[in-house]
Amino acid sequence: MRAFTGSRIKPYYLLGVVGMMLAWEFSAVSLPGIVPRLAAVGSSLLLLAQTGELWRQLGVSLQRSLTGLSFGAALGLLLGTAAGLWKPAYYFFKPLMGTLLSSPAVVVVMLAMVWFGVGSFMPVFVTALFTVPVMYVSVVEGMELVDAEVLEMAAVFRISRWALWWNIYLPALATAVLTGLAFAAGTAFRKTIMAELLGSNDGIGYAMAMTRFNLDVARLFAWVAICLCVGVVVQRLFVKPVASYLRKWRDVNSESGVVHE
Amino acid sequence: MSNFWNARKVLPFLWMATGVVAFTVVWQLMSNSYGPLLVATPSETMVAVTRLLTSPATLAAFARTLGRVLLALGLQIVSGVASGVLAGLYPWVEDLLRPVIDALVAVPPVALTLLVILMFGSGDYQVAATALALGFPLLYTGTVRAVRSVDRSMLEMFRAFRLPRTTQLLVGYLPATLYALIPSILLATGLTLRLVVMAEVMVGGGSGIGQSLSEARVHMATAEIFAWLLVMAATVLMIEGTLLYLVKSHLLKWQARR
Repeated sequence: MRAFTGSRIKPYYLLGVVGMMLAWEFSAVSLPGIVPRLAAVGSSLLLLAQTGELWRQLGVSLQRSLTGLSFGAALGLLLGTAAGLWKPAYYFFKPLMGTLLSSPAVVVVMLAMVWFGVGSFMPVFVTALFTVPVMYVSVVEGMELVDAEVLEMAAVFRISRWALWWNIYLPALATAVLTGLAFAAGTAFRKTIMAELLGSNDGIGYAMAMTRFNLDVARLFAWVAICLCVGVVVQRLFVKPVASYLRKWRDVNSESGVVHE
Repeated sequence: MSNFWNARKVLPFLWMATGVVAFTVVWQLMSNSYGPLLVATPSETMVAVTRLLTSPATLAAFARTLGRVLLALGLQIVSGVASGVLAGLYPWVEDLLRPVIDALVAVPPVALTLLVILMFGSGDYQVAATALALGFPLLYTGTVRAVRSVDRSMLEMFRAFRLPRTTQLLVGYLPATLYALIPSILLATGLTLRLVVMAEVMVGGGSGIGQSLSEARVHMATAEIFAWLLVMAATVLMIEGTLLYLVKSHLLKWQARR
């Protein structure tokens, strides 16, 4: 992870990448017909890019995950702020958030398929629903960091409610929203892909499901490579900068910040 | 009695109960307006929960899934600890493994599951292998961090007494690492259960909770889906609660001994 953000690329990281490629090529040669050669995956990828399929499906999936992410984040922010300010609200939402956080996404996908059928709304709904607890937890934790002593001091000095919000709560909230968005961005894309794969008629997930019927492993690998690229971009552009920024303030573990399938 | 009615302790539970009641009411209202076919009522769901927990067929499915979870979790712990200890001791091993971890963290789990199914078919080991691959990074990074946090003064003492390397590893690193790993194992348990169920759904025609879920979806039996959702959430919460309890009691003993 530090290889790209650091000043130099570590030699053993590159060795690891080369080793992975070699292991892949070796298994492709020793398991012909099961594991596709790297070259076959490359040409599949090229074909997807040339026919425009890649950009079309990527656009559909990205749009869905962004829509779900924004709706879920807005709701999570709202509920999280309420829970952060007023402790009873925190306990009120605890059972719901606990259930959401520990329930398998696949079950929710099945429910959503029954409710909304196969279409664009279903993946957006699933993505939004699983963004809510991530944002909620981040906001609640962020508000907890607002020092009780600072609040006491503010009360002693009779700081106006407006000034309190502007100078104390808002900065804490902004950081929390940033963290929540960074963590949720990665999960949102996965949730969209999962929902599309199980029940949609377009998007990357759907394209992957199609390779199952065509038994086109090389094309599936090509789509996986595209997902990896999106994941790496999200990780490097959002999660890592936010995590390293936050590490100055508190111990944040970006790997296990959000643990979801 | 006054101790029992300590408002600080009771109020949170009261608010949580209010939350549960409020959501049940909302659920019932949704069910009333959309019809019990689309949204099963809470009472129907409770009936389905008792059916799930008493019928031998669903209990067998549950056991099957839990077996796969334990298999995958065991493999995750063994492989994660083994590679994590090496990576914790030698930074070059960490750099070498970094691309693999990066890839496993970034890949959408459904995509990896589909790859495994397409290449190696569907079965017990394939489901466990998928969960193993996806849960592995969690235990690996946990182990690396745990190894790095092993008490420096203890290690110096080991060196001073010139203990052999294997003894250092078994007496020094391993207990401390396993101990520090408990939070990671907690996280991995819930994750693995969700992964296994997902893999079961995608495999199709297999067995376990995933298969029961697929059948319920085909029959549009929302009560059954709700019931599985509740049972699984409760299972995850229970596993985490039990482990947390064990950790706490163990932690106290451990600290007392020091």
